[in-house]
Amino acid sequence: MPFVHPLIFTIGACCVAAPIIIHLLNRRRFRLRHWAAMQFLLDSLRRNRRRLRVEEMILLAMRCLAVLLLALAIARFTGCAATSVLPGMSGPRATVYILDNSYSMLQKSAATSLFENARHDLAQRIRQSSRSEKVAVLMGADADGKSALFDLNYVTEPASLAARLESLDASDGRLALAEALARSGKLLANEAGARQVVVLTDCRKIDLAPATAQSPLRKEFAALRKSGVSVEVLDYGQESRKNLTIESIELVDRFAVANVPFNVAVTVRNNGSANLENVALTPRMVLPGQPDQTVVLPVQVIPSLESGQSTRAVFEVASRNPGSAVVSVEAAGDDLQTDNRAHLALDIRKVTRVLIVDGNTDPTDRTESESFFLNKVLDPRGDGAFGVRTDVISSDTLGGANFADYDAVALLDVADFPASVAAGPATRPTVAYPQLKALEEYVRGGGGLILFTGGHINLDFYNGPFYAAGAGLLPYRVGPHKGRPGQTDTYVRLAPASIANHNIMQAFTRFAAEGSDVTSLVRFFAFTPTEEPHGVVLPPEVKAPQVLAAFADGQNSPAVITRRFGQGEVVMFCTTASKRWNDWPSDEVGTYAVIMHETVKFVARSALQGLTARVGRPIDYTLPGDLLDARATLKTPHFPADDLVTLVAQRQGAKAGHLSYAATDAAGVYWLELALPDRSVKKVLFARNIDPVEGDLTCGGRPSLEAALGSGDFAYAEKSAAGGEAPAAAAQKEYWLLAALAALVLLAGETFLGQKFGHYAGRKAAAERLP
Amino acid sequence: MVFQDSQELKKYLDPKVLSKITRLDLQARLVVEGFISGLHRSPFHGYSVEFASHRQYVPGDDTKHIDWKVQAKTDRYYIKQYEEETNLKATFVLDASESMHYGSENGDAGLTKYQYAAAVAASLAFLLLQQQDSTGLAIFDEDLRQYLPASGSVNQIKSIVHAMDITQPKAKTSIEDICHSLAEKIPRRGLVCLVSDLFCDIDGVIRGLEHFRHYDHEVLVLHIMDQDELDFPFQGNTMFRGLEAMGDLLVEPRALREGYLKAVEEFCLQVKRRCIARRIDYKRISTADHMDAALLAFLAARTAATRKAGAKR
Repeated sequence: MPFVHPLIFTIGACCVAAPIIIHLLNRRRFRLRHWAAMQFLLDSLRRNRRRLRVEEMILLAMRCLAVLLLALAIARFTGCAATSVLPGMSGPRATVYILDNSYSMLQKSAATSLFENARHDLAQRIRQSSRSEKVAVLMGADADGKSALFDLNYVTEPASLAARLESLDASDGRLALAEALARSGKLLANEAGARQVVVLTDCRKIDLAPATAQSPLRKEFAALRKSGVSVEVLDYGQESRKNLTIESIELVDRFAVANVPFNVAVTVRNNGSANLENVALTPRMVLPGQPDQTVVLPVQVIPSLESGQSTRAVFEVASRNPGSAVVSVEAAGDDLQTDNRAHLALDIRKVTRVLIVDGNTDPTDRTESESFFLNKVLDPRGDGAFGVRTDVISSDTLGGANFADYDAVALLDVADFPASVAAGPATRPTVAYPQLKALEEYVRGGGGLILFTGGHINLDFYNGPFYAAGAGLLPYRVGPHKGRPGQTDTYVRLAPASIANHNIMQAFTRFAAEGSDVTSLVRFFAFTPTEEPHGVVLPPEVKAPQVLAAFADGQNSPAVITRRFGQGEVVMFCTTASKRWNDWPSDEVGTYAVIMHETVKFVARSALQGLTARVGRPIDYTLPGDLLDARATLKTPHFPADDLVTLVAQRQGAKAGHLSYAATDAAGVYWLELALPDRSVKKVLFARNIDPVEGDLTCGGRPSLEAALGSGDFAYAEKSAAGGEAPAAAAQKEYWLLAALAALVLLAGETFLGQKFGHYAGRKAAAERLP
Repeated sequence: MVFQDSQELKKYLDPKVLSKITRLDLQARLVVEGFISGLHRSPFHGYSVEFASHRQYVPGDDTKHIDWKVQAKTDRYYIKQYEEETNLKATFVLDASESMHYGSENGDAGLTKYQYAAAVAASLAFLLLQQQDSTGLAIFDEDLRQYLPASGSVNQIKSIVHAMDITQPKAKTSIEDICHSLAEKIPRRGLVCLVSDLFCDIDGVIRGLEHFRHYDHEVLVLHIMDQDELDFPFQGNTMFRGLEAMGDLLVEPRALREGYLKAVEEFCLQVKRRCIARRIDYKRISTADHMDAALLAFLAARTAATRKAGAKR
C-alpha cells in the first residue's frame, strides 16, 4: 500500500463514514421550537427542497473527502499512479537501480558485507519510493540482464520487493556495467518525465578499466546523458588488506589416467595490501565412483606471497579408478572468501586410446611393420597396462576408421587418404578426401595427431590437400626424402642445440641437464626434408608450427614439429616410426619410448573438454548412444537449496544426443546424473570457477569512475563504512503535506459553501443576532 | 406614583422594561405618560378645542398657552384651559389566536406577541380615554371572545384591561369572519385598529378590513411580529412545531433562513400594498420595537381621521 503507515490509513478510510453517521445522528438530535410563522417556513421549504438536498450532498461529500485526505496525510501517503499527473509532482518518474552483485561486493565490511549494505540501502529506497515512480532493479553482474530482479514498472508492493532484495545473494560473476547501462537506456527510452539510473557498486578499478574513448562504458554513459537520464553512483568500495585470489587451477597434463599420477597446478595471487607468509592451500578431491566422499589431500604451503604477486603451486594427484572427479583447492579465509576457492573437473581415463594407422604393414613379419615399435612402447602387452591402449589398422582400411573413438591418431608412413572423385562444373573432376576432412574436424575438436613420414608418402597428397597452403594438418610442405635408407654408414643426428624445452623432448633435455648428450645415441639414415613456408596467412584456428628438434644436417632440417590446430595438437616426426630410416626405437637409454609416451600425452584429447570453465559458460555434454535413454538431472552448486534440474537430451541422429545447461552462474561443482533404465547411474562432474580478475579489490573511487565514464556529469556518494558516511536515504517522496493542504482547503471550502448555502451561520449573521 | 423626570418615563416605552411590569393597566399608563413626555418636539398637539377656564401660570407651563390679553389687562399670567371633547370612537380588534402566543425565548424582552399587542392596545385605549374619546375592544381568535363597545367612561380602561388579562391565546385565527361580524356591530363610524400577526389568509383579512372601510371607518392595522419571526436566527437541527395546528417540520434553519425571510418580506409587502390600496394604515411592529412606534403610528392615523372629519364638517 502506498503509505508509510497503512494501518492508519485503513482506520482513516473507515472514518470516512463518520460525517455520514454524524449527519444521520444529528437528524435524531434536534431542538423543539413552537413556531407561529409556519406558513413561511413551509413555503421556503417547498421552494428550496431540491437545492437543499443537493447542497447537503455536496457538503457531505466534501466532509467525507476531507476526512479521507486527512487520513492520507496522517498515514503519510506516498503517491500512486494518479499523483504523477499533479502539477509539481514531476519527481523521478522512472528509476533504474543497478545493483552490483558481482562477487567482489561480498567483501567483508564489519559484521556484514558490501553487498548486504548495498541491498539494504536499495530496499530502503524501494520502500520509500513514490508510488508514482516506475522502478526497475537490474543485477549488475548479469551482462544480458536476463535475470532482472524487477522490470520497469510501478511498485505496488514495495515491502514484497524489498523483502526479495533483502534475501538476495550476490552472484559469482563480474560486474558488467556497460551492459547494465545499455539495458537501462533501453528501459528508459520510452519513459516520459524525469529518468534516473542509480548504480550501487564498489567502483573497483579493475571494473572501470580500460578507460578509453572507445570503451563501451563511455558510450553507454554518454548515450544516457544525451537522452536526459541522470546518473547517480553510490560507491560502497573499501580497500582490502588481506585477500587471496586463486587465479587458476589446471591439469598440467592434458588428461588424467587411472593409477597414473597427474599434476594439478594452482595459481594464487595476493590481492591484499599486506604481504603474506605460509599461505596454506587445502586441496580436496571428489574421487571417481565415490562422488559423495571428499578426500582431503595434503595441504600445500606457499612460504611467502607479497602484495600483488602471483605464484604457482603444483601438486600430484592420483586416482585408482577412472571416471569423473573434481579437485578443489581452498585458501585460508580473508576479506573476500568467494575467490578463495577453485575447482577442477576431470575425466580420469582408464586408458588413453590411440589409433595407429600403418602405411607399411608386413603381414608375414609383424616386426617389419611400420607400427611395430610404436605399438610395443605404447601398449607392450596389448592390455593398456601402461595407460595407453592401441589399435593398429592398415592404411588400406583408413576409410572405415572412426577417429572419435580415440584420443589420438598416429599416421605412420601413410601414403595418402582414400579419395572420392566427382564431376566438377568445368568438366574437370573434383577429388575429395572425406576421411581427411573427418580427421581435420577431429583434431580441430581437440583430438591429437602424430605424423611419421617414410618412403611411402605421396608428396602430391601431402603438399596438396594435407598441407592445404598452410591451413591443413601438415605443418610444413615436405620434399623427397634425404639419405639412404638401409645404408647405416651415412647418417645424421639430432642437433643438441635444437632440442626445445618441451615436455615431448624432455627425454633429451633431462639428460642434457645432467651433462649427457643422448642425441648421439640416435642415428637417422634418412629423413623427410620440410620447407618452412613464407608469407603464408594462417587461419585463426591454426597456430604457427614450432620446431622441437632439428637434424644436424648442416641445414637444421626440422626433425620434430608441432602445431596447434583448433583445439587439438599435431606432432610431426620427419622420419619413420620404425627402424627403416633410423635406429631410434632401439637406442640404449630408451628415449624413443619416453618421447612416444610424452607425445601421446601431449596430443591426446584433453580431459578438460568443457568440464572446467568460468561461470556463465554453458555445460554441454554429448551423450553416447548407450546413454540416450538415460534420465538426466543436474545438481547445481546450490543444491539442495536449489532444486534438481532435469535436462532433456537433444537427439543428434540415432547414436548420439546432446545435453545443455546454460544457467551456470554459480561457481562450484555441477553434478550431472544419468539414470539408465536398468537403475545404474552415471555421474559426470563439471566445475565452474569465478573470474579471478574481480578479486582485485583496488578501489577506483570517483577519479576512476570519471575516467571510465569520460565525464564527471553524475552524482557520486561514498557509502563505505570506512568513510563514516551514513547511508543517506533518498528524499522520501510523500504527499502528506499536499493531502493535508487539500483537506484544509476542502474544509475551508466546505465552511464557505456551508455559509453560502445557509447551513452555517456566518460571522455577519451571528453579529446581527447580537444585541 | 409620581414621576419626576420625563426621561425616566420614556424607558417604559422599551418592551424589555415594560415586560417587568405585570399589570397591564399600569403598563398602559406608563407607556402613555412616557410617550406624552416625549412629545415636546412632536407635531401632534392641540387636538382638544373647547375653552374651559383660566388658571394662574406656574413655572413649567407652556408659555404658548398664556392668555396675553388677560396679562395685558391684569399684568398677571394666566393659562387658558380647554375642555376636551369626545369626537372619536376607537375600537381595538385584538388577535388572541394561538400564533399570538409566540414570544422570543432568548433575550430579555419576554413579551409574547399577544402581550405586546395587548400592551399597545391598552396604551392607546388609555391615551384615548385620557382625551375623552370612546374606546372599545374586541378580542378574537376563531370567534369573538370578548367585545366591549366603545365607551368614554372612566371605568372603560379597567374593563379593557380585564378583558385582555383573562384571555389566553389558544385557538386558530379567523380574521375575516370576525371583521365582518364587527363591522356590523360597530354602529358609528370611527377608528378600527386591528392588532394581529395576520397569520391567516391575507385575502380574507383584506376582505374583512374592506368591510370596515365600507362603513367609512378609519382602519389601522398594527402588524405585530416577533423579532425571531423577522430574523429567523435559529441554528442547529430544529423541530418546528406549528402553532394553530400547522404540523411539525424538522429542518436545519440556516438552510431555510434566506427563503423564509424572503417569504416574510413578500407577505408583509403584499399586506402593506393591499392596505395602502384600500387607504388602510399599516404599520408593522416588532415586539422588540419601543412602544412609541405603535403610538406614533396610531396618532398619525388619528390625525388623518381628525383632518378628514374636519374637512367633512
